[in-house]
Amino acid sequence: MPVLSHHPTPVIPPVRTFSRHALWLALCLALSGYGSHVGAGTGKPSEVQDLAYGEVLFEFYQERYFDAISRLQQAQERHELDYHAGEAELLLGGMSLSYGLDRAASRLFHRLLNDDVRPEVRDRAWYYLGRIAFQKGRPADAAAALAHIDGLDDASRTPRTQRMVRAEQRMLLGHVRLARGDAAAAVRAFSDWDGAAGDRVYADYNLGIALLAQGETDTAVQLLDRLGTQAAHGSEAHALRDKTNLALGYRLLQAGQPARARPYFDRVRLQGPLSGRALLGAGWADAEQQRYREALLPWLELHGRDGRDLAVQEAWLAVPYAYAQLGAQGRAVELYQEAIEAFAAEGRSLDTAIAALDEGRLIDTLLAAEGTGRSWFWQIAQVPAATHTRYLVDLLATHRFQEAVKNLRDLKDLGDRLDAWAGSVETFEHMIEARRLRHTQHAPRLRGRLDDLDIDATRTRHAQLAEELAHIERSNDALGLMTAQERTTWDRLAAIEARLAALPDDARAQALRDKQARLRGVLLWQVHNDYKARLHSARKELAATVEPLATAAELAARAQVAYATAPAAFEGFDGRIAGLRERVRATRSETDRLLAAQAQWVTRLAQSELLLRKRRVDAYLVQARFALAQTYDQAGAPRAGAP
Amino acid sequence: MRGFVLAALVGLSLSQPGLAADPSDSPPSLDGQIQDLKQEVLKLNRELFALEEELLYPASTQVSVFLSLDVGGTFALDSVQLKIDDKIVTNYLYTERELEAFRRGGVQRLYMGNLKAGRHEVVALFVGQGPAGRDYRRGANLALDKGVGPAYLELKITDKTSKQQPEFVIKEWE
Repeated sequence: MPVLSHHPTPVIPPVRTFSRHALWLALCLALSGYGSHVGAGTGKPSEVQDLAYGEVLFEFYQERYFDAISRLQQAQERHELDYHAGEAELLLGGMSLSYGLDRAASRLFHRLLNDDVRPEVRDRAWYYLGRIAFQKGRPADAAAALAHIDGLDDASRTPRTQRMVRAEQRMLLGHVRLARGDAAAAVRAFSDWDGAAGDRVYADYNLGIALLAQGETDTAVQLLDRLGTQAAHGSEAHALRDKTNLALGYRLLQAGQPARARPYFDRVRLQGPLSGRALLGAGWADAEQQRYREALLPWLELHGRDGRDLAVQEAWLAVPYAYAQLGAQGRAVELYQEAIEAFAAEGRSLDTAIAALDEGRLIDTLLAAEGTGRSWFWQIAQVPAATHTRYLVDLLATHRFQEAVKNLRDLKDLGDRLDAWAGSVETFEHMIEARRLRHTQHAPRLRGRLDDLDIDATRTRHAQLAEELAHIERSNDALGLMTAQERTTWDRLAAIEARLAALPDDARAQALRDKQARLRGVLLWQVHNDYKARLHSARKELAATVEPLATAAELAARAQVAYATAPAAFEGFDGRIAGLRERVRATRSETDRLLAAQAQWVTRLAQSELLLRKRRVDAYLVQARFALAQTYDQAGAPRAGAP
Repeated sequence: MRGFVLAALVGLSLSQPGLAADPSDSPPSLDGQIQDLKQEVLKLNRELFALEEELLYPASTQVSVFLSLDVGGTFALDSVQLKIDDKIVTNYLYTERELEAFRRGGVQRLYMGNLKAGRHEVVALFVGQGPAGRDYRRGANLALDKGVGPAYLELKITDKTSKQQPEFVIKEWE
């Protein structure tokens, strides 16, 4: 029987993913509390100075990257970012990365480096470039980018206000160095890490892994042992503690120290996602010490669990193996036979799941879950187990599959947006048509009314009246202020006077002339007597027309402008709308094409993952059959089906 | 047997996916095409928004109302009702996610519409839980003198720390 020392040395990975979500968290950290637009160390964002920037943040913090990027770019085009222009560029770069636009992000950060920017902005640009390179599997380029960050490798030179940002950068530096095989330098980076207290455990864990890689096993075990026993608050902390203990347990098991390994497996939570692997390891730690009865305890616990778990599948083999070692060959035979049936059933289940992938049902499920950010992920995790979803959660646990699904869902989202826009564009066209029709119907009548309106003539008349009044005042011309009735009377008296002048000078004519003169005198007296009051009244009335006349002039001007500009509400849009409609159509079609291609890629990934599982199950099946034969031989019992 | 089985398991248990760089997230050409498409749709989206704004909310009549929130424990916002000239123009119920975005400095464009030049009455009604979890309804109003350009108003909810009470104001941006 081969022993553990024959196993290849497992690579224990560091923690802290560089996924899109982790990037979102890093950006949040940079923006809220420690970024350039906030009060250093207050942990509270300072007041947003540009409304547009606040709008961007509102979308960004809800992980609606498309809307956030779109709004930010619009704000830049419209010069709406007077106060936050610099950090907006960094945010745009970071969001572009989160949205899977690493080429655009890379271009943006390089452009930033060419600008005359503050040193901390340059440092952050280099950090993101390092991050892109690392994500793309180019650790050497990542290291080169990080080397530009002044003082990154010297913790004593960290500016107080940059502490948190620098911690994130140092974390990446450690990962890059580990990826390049420079464990000693990685140890330095993780040792110098000085970030938020809550993240200390991650840095320590990574330090432990780096120390192991460096060969400093005792120091590493000491550090990881401490991490594996300290109190954990929250699911993430618990998961990290489990991971630490599991990693330590297997490391010691590999190093041929099963007795020392055993307690680490016991520390892993029984209900956690790593419990299967821990139970298996605990059993092996006992089995390595020939304590098969004790080994059966964790293995039997594992044996009855969900068969999708590879640890459970191993238990199907490990339990009969332990019984065989204890001399219970009969029980071992039974359990090996059960294992053969279980592996065969699992193999069939995988075949069915692989076939279901071709029908596209998995893709439909992946696209049906709603929500942005991480919410869709948890929805999918809750999907009831069916043929095509049985291995979905396991598939989603792989980084590559997760990223591919994100792109798939992004494409679906783009398609939905384009569909909505296609509807809007159609509405715009109808709106323009309705405006044009209304203008055609109403414009002639409005033109006629505007033409009838002669404000200038009214103004001229007003000016004439003002001049007449001034003249009356200057010449004390009381007659100029007679009422219309008085004017008529005056004219009649003048006519009478003329007619009386033609009469002979007799007594009757004289009496009439006297009467006419009296009436004329009365009228003159009345007019002169009221002159001042009439003058005041005339002035007042003329003054009262000034404002209405001005208002009328303004309204007329507005009506003229409205008439003149009305066509702007529908003219010039036709070509633009037609162009946009065509682009929406073409882009929608391209989206369909890429959605199909990405769906195919996601299916291929799922298939290759399930095929890998199938190969493992097949290999286990062969081993189970071989072990069954061996057990029969050991027991000297006749084989099933043997003559 | 044990060696093979355990080797597979050890490899699995310790190589948690996603923890290291993965250069093969998707085929490079497909990934590049998807990036190009995203960029094109972003551009299209901006142009369509600009068109929509020109058609529906011309600058001469445009009015936008924003909401920002900078409160600690004194007020938990549930909803906002906005009235202009005694007419309800929007009612908005907030999710926890949106409130978190507010707390981090986000600003929401709550309403966009059209108003003629002249005087208008803007009233906002805020509903939520005040100090000690009590139901809380408060209003804020503003007499807006709308000119010929676009108007930008911000509804602000802040802590009035001296009184341990939230404060609701409407600010007009120049």
